[in-house]
Amino acid sequence: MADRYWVGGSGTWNGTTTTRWSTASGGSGGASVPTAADDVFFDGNSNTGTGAFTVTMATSPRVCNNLTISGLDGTMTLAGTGIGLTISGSLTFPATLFNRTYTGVTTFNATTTGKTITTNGVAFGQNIVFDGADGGWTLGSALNLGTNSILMYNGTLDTSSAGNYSVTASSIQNSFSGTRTLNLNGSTVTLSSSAPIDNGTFTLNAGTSQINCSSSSFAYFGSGRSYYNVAFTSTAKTTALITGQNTFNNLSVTNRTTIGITKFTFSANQTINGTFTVTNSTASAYRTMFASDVIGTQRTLTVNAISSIRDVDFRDIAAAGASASWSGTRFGDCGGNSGINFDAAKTVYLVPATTTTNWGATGSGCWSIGSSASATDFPLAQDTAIIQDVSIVGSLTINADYNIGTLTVEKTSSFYFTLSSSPTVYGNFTTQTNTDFFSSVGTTTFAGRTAQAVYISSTFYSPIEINSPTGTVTLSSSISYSNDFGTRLVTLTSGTLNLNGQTISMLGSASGSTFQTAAGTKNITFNGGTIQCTTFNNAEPTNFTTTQGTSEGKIELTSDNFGSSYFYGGGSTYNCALKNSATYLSIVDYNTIQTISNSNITTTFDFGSLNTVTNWNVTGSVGKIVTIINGTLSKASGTVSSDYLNITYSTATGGATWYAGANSVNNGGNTGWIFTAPPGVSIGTGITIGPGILIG
Amino acid sequence: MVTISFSFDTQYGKFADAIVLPDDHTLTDAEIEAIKQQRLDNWIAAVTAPPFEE
Repeated sequence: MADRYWVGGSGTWNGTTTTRWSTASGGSGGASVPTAADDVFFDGNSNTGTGAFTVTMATSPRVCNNLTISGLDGTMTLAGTGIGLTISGSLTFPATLFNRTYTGVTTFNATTTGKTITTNGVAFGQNIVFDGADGGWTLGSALNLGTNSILMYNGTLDTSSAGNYSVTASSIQNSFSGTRTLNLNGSTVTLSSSAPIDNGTFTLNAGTSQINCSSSSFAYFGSGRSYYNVAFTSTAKTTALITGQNTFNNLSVTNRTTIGITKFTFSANQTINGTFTVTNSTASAYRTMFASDVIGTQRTLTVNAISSIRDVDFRDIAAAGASASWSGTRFGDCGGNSGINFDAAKTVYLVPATTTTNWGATGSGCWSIGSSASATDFPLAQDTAIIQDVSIVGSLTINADYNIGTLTVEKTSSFYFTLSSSPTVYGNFTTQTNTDFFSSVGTTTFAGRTAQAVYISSTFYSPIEINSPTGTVTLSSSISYSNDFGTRLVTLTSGTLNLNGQTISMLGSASGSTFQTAAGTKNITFNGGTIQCTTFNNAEPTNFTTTQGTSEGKIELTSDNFGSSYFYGGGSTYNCALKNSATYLSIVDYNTIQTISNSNITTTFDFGSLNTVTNWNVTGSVGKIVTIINGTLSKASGTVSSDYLNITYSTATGGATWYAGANSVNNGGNTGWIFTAPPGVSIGTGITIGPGILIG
Repeated sequence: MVTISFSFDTQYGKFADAIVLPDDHTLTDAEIEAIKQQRLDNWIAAVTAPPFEE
């Protein structure tokens, strides 16, 4: 271990040049370039006179044991684009006469404790890494990384119990394999990343620290740790996912100061031993929502004390602890809550206006329980919002992901809803023939917990999600997507979709259309209803069921202008008909389908695997041949009677007798098909239509 | 070395820092106060900067 002093002013710190290194302060150059075992000094004798000088690091990384820059009498710049610096001991930057412009990673790799990091107000220009098994570093001053991060690979970082120095960074990253500890003492830690502290396994000693998270959205925060005070400080937050079962002293959420709704979702129960604070909004349309990350699965917030809060929506939240039950102003009830006192449901009306207006607005807003708009009349999730004939002529923009209760359009003349967001509807939804519902970006979600009736008699322009655990969404009218709407998409996540004899028509020319499932317990009850789309994708077949109801409904696959159509059945049972109205239909997975049928068009069925059917009603006609290729068809009993089929590599089995018909073609590779008409159905001179019945 | 620890309570939280100087430093009290203020200003600028999105 040796000392190395920089001499001679500006120069390059690389792996070979020795002219700037001396064994003593102000001594002669020519000493060896410092190694990781050597202490490096920059001082008042490193320059010529009091002149400014630049030390440009080259050949990454530069290494040393202790790095001490102190006592300068001219301004020093430590430079090096993309050049890293690895320090095996302590670091001291001076309070004055120093610029850090190097932009490489600074790594601290000591393997013993007792090291200090004193940056004296100098911000790092890249991430810093702690990577020394059994290493320990204590801050000697505040640590500022700007938009860069602290990466904890190995060792212990301590913010100093004496100084409680502040830390400012993008994030603290811990998803590494070493043994790591972070002692925050009484420090204020400000983190700007959307993932402020990642979910790696490490020891967090929160002390009495204050962690301020300033991002406007959070991919996750928490990871099941014990924190002291945590605040989410952005006034323009959008979403935040709190993961794991965490404990806080105080938890603070700064409410919005702009139109919108901030959604805090919890993946587990949380405990707040101090105070849960939500700073009050200044408008009823500046909302915050606390919800479970899984709709229908309640999360408990055990809270000692809660601030006076308002303009908050709750979904699947159980308030517990000394603070329960919670009361506030304009609490929206999105279902699944307990221990929270909500405002009584009210009916509000869109007040007449001559121009377009927004659902959420500042000032008095646009909703009223009487004749004049009032901010306090903003419709909550338990309320009924009515657009009357006397309401505005133009349009109403749902301008944030608001939680909407019952929505009724009574206005019979032309009226436009415009979605610049993705609202969630918890009650009945009724529009009129002249109501257009147009979404430029968002999805309309139906998420009630009991029964929701949806009556959309107009042309629809919004993707739909049904996420209604324990609930049923019943169509009171058919839903017809606009032919030219590009995102014709219906997602069934949870709950029952009762088609109620109605049709969801997703035909169009703008692009294909998809009906899909998502993770959740869900059911389609047909009651004679129909789903028309180009792709049916049972992407999440677990806990997916179908019910015929009063009469057989159908899933009708069409090809629109795009030729192919797809049925990804997911191996589920379909108590309905699957009707091919496409020019080509690919049926994927081992499905059980009550009825398979086709429209009277030239078409192809491509069966990728085994499909079990109860009724096979597929047949072609003269000039409208039906091609059957691949896969296995199984029918337990009875006689299949088709005709005008063109069959290749198809196996027909299961116990039934499969007659392809006299006009069908065997292209080879088939098993089980009989290429004749069934007995008693021969057509010819003397037309036999049944045993013993001869006509002619 | 001389360590001058200081802190400010602000609307953004408590800012704690230290000025570490050589024993023979020549900074005046006014210059030290100016450094404190500069550190505070820099911190406020950092914690109020628009969120950094990766």
